[in-house]
Amino acid sequence: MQNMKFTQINIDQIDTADKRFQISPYFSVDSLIPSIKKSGLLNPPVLTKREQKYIIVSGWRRITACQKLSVPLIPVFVMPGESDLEAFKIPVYENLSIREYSQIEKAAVIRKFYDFGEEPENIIKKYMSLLKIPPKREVMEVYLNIDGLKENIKKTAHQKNWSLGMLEIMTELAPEEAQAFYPFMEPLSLNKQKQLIENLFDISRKQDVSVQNLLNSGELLRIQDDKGLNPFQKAEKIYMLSKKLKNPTFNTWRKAFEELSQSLDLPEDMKVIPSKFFEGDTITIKLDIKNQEELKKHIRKLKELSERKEISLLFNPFSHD
Amino acid sequence: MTEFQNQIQKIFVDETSLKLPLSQKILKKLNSIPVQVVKNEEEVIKRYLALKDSIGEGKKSLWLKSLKGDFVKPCPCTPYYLGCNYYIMNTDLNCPMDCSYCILQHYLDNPLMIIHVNTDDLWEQLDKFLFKQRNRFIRIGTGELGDSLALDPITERSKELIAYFRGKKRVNFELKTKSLNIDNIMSEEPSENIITAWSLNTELMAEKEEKGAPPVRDRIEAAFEVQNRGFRVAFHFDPLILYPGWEKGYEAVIKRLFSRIDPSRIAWISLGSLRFPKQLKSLIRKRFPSTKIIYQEMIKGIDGKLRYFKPLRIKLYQKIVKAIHSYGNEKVPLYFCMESKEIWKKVLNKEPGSKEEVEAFLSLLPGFESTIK
Repeated sequence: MQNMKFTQINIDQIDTADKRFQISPYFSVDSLIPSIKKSGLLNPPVLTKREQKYIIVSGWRRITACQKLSVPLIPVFVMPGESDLEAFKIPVYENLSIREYSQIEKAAVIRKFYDFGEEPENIIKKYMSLLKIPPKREVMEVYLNIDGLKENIKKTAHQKNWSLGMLEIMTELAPEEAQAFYPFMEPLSLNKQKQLIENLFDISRKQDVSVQNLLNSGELLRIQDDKGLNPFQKAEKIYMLSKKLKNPTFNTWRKAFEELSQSLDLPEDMKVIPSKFFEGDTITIKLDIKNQEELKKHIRKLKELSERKEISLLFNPFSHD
Repeated sequence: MTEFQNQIQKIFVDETSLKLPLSQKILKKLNSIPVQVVKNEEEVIKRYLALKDSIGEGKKSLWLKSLKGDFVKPCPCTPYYLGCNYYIMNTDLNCPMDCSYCILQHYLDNPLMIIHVNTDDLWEQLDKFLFKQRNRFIRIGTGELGDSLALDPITERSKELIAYFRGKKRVNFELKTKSLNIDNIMSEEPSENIITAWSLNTELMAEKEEKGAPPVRDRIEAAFEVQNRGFRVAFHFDPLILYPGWEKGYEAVIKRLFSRIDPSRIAWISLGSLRFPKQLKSLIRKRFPSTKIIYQEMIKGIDGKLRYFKPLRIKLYQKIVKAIHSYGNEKVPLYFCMESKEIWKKVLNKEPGSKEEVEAFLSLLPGFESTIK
């Protein structure tokens, strides 16, 4: 804080349109408002002057909350006229001391350092390690590309805490392709979002078609055009279909196994489960048992099952390929 | 000969390794290439990692250094699948060829090609290791974290290794390569326990996915020469890759292989299908944007790596084994790299109970019968 001047200024004097030092626009002030109402602004934001105007270096959330509360005068620190690069280090370090950055915020930090003229080698050596990113040039390029994604994608990615892998795929898509995913992403859970992106990307690359062309053809298009489905149902169906299209052989075998186990006419509290992806050579029989009587009943059923011919197919579902 | 040394643009030498005989030999052979003496290793690695394609750039630079740890290690294999009890010798790390599927892109932290020049330590460690393991067969090789022969014209390491292992009857020593650099081997007297192995694929996959590697037919010709010199040879169909036309592609290679190579002089053939950790996938996408091999139907195996769905692997292996049996014969020892006992049983009709049994099976000299059921 040395060389910084502590003062009070009128909040209207701050040019909030200048967002050059803003790392994340995705913040909420709801939890801060009661605190400011009760105790005032205890931690002054940091400002600096550019072309006679005060701009925010650090403290976007605090200033936005004060604006909402119509606080006229606020305490601030004003930085001397450091370069943008030097000034930007203030919010980077300050935020790092408080919370983890999302991948989108990390991308914004790297982009800003880059645009403020920091040497790539320095970004890699100093700041990427600080952000817990592997210090490699290839990875820096990925983050620069992530920052260039469309705003709606970045917002969802930040809010849902998308992994680097998901974002990496988005950057490898043409902007129209990335946008084509978007309507089906919102309703899905994070895990399903991830799988949908990976599946459609892989299918499109394997078939040499764009993601939009893939989505605009066959069963995928029929699902989108189905007026009887709401957006959530459409997203779920598209997700399920992407799994089938990505792994057709696995899907065939999963279905065959299901049909075989159904043909055994098992009681509801007895389930036959294959090994994960059929990779192991065992099956699991799961029993839900409440008491000794049920145990005896299940043992009788298991004995009966062990005599049936179909059971051998479950152990070797590929034998009739 | 495959002259990979022509792609070397810079040599780094650790200050402490500069005077060692192997460093001096290499520096003399490559005397037109700029040399930098390294005092701070980390600085060099960081500088390379800051380059746009650090892996590609690393293949243009050679680093002569001393290995501070163990040269000999058990092959890391993969968890939950059946291994073969192989030992690896980390004499050289990394490779001048640039195969799209190469695990080293992900596995090695240092992108440069490294030659470990503290050869005296290597011999000392090998002596101790082999003494400890004196009551068993050993299969050991240098081609796991690098290509055994790619840089052999400048290191001449193969000559020394052959001399070291010759006569050690309980040790099968393997040099594993995709290169055609056999001059040093050809100048040595053959020995039954010295095996030169080539990684093979279809011509199409070699052309598309194995950048810088010679055509497969040339590799087979190199094997033919080495076999004619009196050495045993081996082959690794790994990674087997599914692509439209794979059946004809692999059949053609196997047909060519057995038109040139005497099956009775093949020490072993390994089979392994394409597999890689998930993290490698994005690296492959970026470094090899036109490749399609990573988009086939793959599942997450028990070891966490992506691999073809089991029925697809079984079909792939069955076709390859059938072709080997039909163009070669059924006596060629075949084994799987990183596969399950179930696959062994279904494809080879063999049931090795452990990696020790696999090792014993592969360590047999010609004329002995396998003990695997």
